[in-house]
Amino acid sequence: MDLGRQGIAASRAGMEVVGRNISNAADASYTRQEIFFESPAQGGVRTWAVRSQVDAFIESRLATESQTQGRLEVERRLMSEVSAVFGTTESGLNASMADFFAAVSGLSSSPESSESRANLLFQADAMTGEFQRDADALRGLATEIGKELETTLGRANQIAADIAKLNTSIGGSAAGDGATGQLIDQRTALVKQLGGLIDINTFEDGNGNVTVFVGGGVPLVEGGNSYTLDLAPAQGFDPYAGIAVTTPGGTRNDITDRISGGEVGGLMRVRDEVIRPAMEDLDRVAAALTVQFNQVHGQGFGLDGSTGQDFFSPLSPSVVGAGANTGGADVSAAIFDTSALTLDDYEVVFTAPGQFDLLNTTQGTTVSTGNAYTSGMTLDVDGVRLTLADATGGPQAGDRYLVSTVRDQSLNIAAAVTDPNAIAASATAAGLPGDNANALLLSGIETTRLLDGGTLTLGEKVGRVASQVGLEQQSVEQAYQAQSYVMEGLESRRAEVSGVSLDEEAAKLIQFQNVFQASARLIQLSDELLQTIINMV
Amino acid sequence: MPTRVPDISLKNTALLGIARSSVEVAKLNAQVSSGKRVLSPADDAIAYARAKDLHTVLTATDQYGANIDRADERLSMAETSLASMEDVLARAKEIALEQANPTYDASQRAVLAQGVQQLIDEMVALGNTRLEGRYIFGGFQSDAPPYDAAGTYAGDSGVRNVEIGDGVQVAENVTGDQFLGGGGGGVDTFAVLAQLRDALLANDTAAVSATIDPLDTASEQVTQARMTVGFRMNKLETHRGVLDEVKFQTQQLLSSAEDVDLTQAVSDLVLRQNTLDVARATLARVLGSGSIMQYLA
Repeated sequence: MDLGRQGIAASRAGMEVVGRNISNAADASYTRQEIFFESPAQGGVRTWAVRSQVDAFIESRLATESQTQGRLEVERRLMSEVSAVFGTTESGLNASMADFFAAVSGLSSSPESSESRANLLFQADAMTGEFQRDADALRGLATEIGKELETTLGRANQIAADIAKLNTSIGGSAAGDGATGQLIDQRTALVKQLGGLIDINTFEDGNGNVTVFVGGGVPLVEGGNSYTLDLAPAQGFDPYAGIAVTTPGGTRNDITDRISGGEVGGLMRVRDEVIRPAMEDLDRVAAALTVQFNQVHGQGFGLDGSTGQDFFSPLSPSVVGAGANTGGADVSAAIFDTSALTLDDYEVVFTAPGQFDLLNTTQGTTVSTGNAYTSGMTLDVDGVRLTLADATGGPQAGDRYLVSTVRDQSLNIAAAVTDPNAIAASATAAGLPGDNANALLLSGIETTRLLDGGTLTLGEKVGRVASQVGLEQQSVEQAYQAQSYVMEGLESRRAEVSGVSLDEEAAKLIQFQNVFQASARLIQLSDELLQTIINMV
Repeated sequence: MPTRVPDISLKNTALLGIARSSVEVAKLNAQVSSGKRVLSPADDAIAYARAKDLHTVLTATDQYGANIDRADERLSMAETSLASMEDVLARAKEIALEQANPTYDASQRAVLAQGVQQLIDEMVALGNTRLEGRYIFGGFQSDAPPYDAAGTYAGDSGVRNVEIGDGVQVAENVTGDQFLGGGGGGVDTFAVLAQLRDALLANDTAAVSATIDPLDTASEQVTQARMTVGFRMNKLETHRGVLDEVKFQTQQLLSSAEDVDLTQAVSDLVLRQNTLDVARATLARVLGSGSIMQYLA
């Protein structure tokens, strides 16, 4: 009779596991459980263990691949937004610039016509508007990415906290129990989700705790504790915030450079390697156009007799101090000789409070070293005059200042000429309405190779920027397709091991039902035998 | 071969098939409806960049075409005026030849002197020919009449070049000081005409006769200018042909870079649509077939 009781208990336990498997059959993260029995020496049956069916190798591959997947998903979404900035094949900045130069050519054909002059101003506005729209759109995307980074880190923190909680619950319950299996499933799913957000490695200790490291070695979850990921202050001249982990002790570890995977990695990569170079390139195009056009325009004469006028508002150099500067000096820059401008960036580096070096960061060269510093001094480089002075204090060793003549020019470019008669089409003298010689020179700027060491025209450079973004988008798209096959393969291999097959469960159900019925029959039979014996008494 | 096929795999496989086919169908649909293969840089970054460059070439070509049209109008106008000037000078020469003959008397010559004055007025009017408010023979000073009533030139010798192609320019004006003023060793047409008029008034046959050769030279000068204009118009015409060819070729290149091969796209679309239908039917089958569960009584 006891054998029958054990059989009933075992088949009930078996049916419970089958029930759990069936009810979770549609949950992709659920791991199929299997029940194992043992036969004790004295006979009968006992539940030995309920095991979740996991292939540890596939699980760890999934965790790694989901970091790539997370990164590619984000990159794919962002890249389509970035490439939309450059318009279709017949719209966008290229088209606006072509229209602008067509208007310049039109002016050279009819310099005395007020229509052709007005049309040039109109096209100039359209083109500068397009520059600004593109620059705004790219900056807007960078800002959006910053916000998204913040929310993504928030999600990662939430998941890390949940993993820590699960660590505590799992550590406190008996191993081999079906309910613990589900907690472990949950934790595995969370670790995978976290991996989709940011680069992590995990390691499981003997006590069933999962330790999560972020950015290759900085702990994020240790046992029941989780630490906080947040935005770190920008380094150097970097305009964007990075990523840091703050430990309970209050130590902040900047891990910006160590993140390359997950959504966070994708967000940062698109911002730093696609959007930022594109913005800088457009700034350079806008700056080269401004300088060259103004140069030629200034040599000509308007219908109103004006000469030496800028067509576009002149460049305004910007100076940025590094985030880590400790001194209180102020560096400012102004252009004093447009014809000497190279559009390069420069860096002032204080090697001591009274001494500084000047570097050309675009060319990677040193302009001058060991310059003595006195407050209020000036230093000229390629048509740019730097003024260095004490402000809230003097400079300190290690202070750095970045001087750029092109920064934000795609945002700032605007026509300075508002009167159509002030457009300098004439080359010889004032008051010659039919003279178009200067307009022809202006028109020639379209085909002059001004950029990339004299290899690209302005329009070609813009085309290059757009195609660079396009190629990047194409390669992300291809990588994403390839990755989705990898993920699909892994998911299906995982499902092979861990997924629930209703057919199998049905077979097991019948099996356990049979055991249950047979065991009940055993009890009934034993009872009948016992009755017979009792009746004999 | 998988050893186990759990239910979730069946569903996922069928769903992925549908998702992939849907994406392809949507993409092909967009291509067929727009007629363009390259709708964003992701479709084909190289073709995208190429198409952008070719559109720029088209914009420039259209502008060169417009410049040619303008230059052609101006040169035609100049051509017409120059032809009229030839007529005027021919009439002046006729008078000079006739009046060099001593058979005419002073009163007849006085009448003809008035006739020559009218020819001078006509020449001044022709020298002040305007097109779209612009004096075409005044050089760069195109906003004021280059000739006063006495035929004194107030313009300059500015020659205006227009762009009619990448690096190709053509001069679109001739200046009065050259072909009427005799700049560079010729004769001053207005001075000769005034001389003729005054000789007629003075009834001086010898002086009248002295104007015949200079009048020939003046006429020659105008004819030269007219030929120059004609050559330039020919050059415009030739270059218009070149531009049309450039435009045609550019459009061909553009089409091969960004246009969709419709036959291919439509047949792909039909094929993909079929795949999608099959995938949907399969999913319905897979989800509907259940498992042995439904055979358990």
